[in-house]
Amino acid sequence: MLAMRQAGFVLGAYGVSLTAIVLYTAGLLARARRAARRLPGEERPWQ
Amino acid sequence: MNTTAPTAATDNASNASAAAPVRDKRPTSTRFTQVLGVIVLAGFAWLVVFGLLLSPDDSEQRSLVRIMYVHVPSAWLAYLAFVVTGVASAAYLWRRSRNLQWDRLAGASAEVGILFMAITLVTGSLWGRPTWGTYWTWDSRLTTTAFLFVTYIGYLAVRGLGGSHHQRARRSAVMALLAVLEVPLVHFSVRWWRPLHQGQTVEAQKIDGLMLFSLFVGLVAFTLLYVWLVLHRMRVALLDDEVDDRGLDAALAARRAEG
Amino acid sequence: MSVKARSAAAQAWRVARLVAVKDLRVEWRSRVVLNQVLPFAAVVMVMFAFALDNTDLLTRVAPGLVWMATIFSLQVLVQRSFAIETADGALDALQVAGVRPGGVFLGKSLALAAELAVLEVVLLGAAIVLYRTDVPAGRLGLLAATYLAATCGLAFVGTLYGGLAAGAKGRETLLPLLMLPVVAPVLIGATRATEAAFGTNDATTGDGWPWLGLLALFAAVFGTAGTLGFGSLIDE
Repeated sequence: MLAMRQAGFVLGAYGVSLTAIVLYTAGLLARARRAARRLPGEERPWQ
Repeated sequence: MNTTAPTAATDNASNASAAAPVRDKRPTSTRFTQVLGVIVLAGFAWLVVFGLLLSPDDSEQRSLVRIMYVHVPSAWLAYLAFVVTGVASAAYLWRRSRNLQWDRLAGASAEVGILFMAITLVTGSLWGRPTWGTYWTWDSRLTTTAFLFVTYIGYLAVRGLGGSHHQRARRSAVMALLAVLEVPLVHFSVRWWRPLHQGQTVEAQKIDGLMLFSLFVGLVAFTLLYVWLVLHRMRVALLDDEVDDRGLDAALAARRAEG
Repeated sequence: MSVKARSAAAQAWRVARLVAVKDLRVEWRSRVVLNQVLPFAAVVMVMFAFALDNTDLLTRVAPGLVWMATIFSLQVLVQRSFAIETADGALDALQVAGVRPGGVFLGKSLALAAELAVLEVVLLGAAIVLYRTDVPAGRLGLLAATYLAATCGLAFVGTLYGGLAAGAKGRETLLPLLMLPVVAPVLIGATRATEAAFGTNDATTGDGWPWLGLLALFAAVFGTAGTLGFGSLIDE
C-alpha cells in the first residue's frame, strides 16, 4: 500500500514535469510559426 | 524606410511563400538546434529509464528518491537561469552599444527559469507530502524559492508592459537588477524568521553510484534543454520585435499614403 | 567630495524638497489620504477583527496586522502618488526640463513617507483601541526607530515600483504583484521589531534590535538603488 502511494507521487512528479515542458515547447514553436507567417521573406540572422 | 514598402512587402510575401514553405514551418530552428533537440529527447528518455527503472530505491526515502532526479536538476537550472538573467541585464545596461540581444537573453532565460522553478516547486511538494507529511513547510529555502518565482513572474509582466524595444529593455533590466538586490534580503529575513532548518535533502546522504549517475543524467538533460529553449525563445523574441517594427512601418506608410 | 559633486547633490536635494512640498500640498488640497485612505485602513483593521474573532489572538498578532494594513494602504497611496504625476504628463515634463530623476525620487519618497507616518499613527491608535495592545513607555525608542526605518523602506520601494508602473497600461493590477514580494522583508522585520516593542509573546527589546538593523539595511539598499535607477525606470 505504502509502495503504491509512493509510486503515485513519483509518477505524478515525472508526469507533471514532462507535461509542463512539452506544453511550453509546443507553445514556443507555435509562437515562432505565428511570428514567421507575419514576416515572410525576412532575413533571419541564424539562417 | 521608403514609401514603396507595402508593395515590396507583398511581392516578397508571394515569392517567399512559394520558395520557403519548409523554412516557415520551423522558423527558429537551425541544424545546431535540431541536433541538440534530438540529444535532449534522448537525454530525457535516459532520465526516465534511469530515474524510474534502473536506479535502486534509497534505504530511507525508498522510491521517493526518484523524484530528486527531476527536482534537483530543475532547481539548479532555475537558479542558473536567474543568474543568467541578472548578468545579461547588467550587460545590456553596461555596454554602450545597448545590444538588444542581451535583453532577449535576459527575458528568455527568465521565462525558462520560471518553467523550471514551477517544476521544482511541484516536484518538491510531491516529495514533501509523503516524506514530511506536508506539501509545504516554511523553511527558508522553500520560502525564498517561492518569492523568487513570484518576483520573476512580475519581471515578465514588466517585460509585457509595452513601449519601444529599448524602453522595455532598460525598464526590465533595472527590474532584474532590483530582483538581484531583493532576493538576498528576502532570504536572510526568512532565515532569521525561521532559524530551525528542515533536514538536508538528498545531498547529505550517502549516495549510491547508480543514483549519482541518474542525477547526473538529469542534470545533463535539463542543461541541454535549457540551452535549446533559451535559443528558441530568443529567436522568437527577435521575430516578435520585428513584427512590431514592421507593424509600425506599415502604419507610417499608410499614414503617408493618406497624404 | 568635489565641488561639482557637492553642487549636484545640493541641486538634487533642492529638487527633492520642491517635489515633496508639491506632493504634500496637492494632498492637503485634495484630502484623498484623509478622506479615503485613512478610512480604508481603519476598515481593514476592523475586518481583521471579524476574520480572527478572538480578542486574545488579536492582541497576540496585532503587530503583524498593523503592518499588513500599512502595506495594503501603501498600494493605494503609491497609486495616488503617481496618478497626480501621470494625469497631465507631469513626470514627462520634469524629464524634459532636465530635472534630476534622483531628486524627484527622493522628493516623492519623502512625501510618501510623510503620508505613511500619518497613517501609521492612526493604525497604532486603532490597534491600541481595537486590539487591546499596550505600548510600554520604556520601549517607545525601539518603536519609534522601527517605524522610522520601516517607513523609509516602504516609501522607497513604493516610489520605485510606482514610478515603474506609472504610465503603463494595467499598472493598477501590476503594482501589488511587483511590490508585495519586495516588501516581504519589511513585513517580517517590522512585525518582529514591533512585537518586541509591544512586548507581545514575551518578546524583549533585545529581540527587536537585530530586526531594526535589517530594516535600516533594507531602506539604505532601496534608497540608493532608487536614487540611481529611477531615471531609467520612468524614462518614456
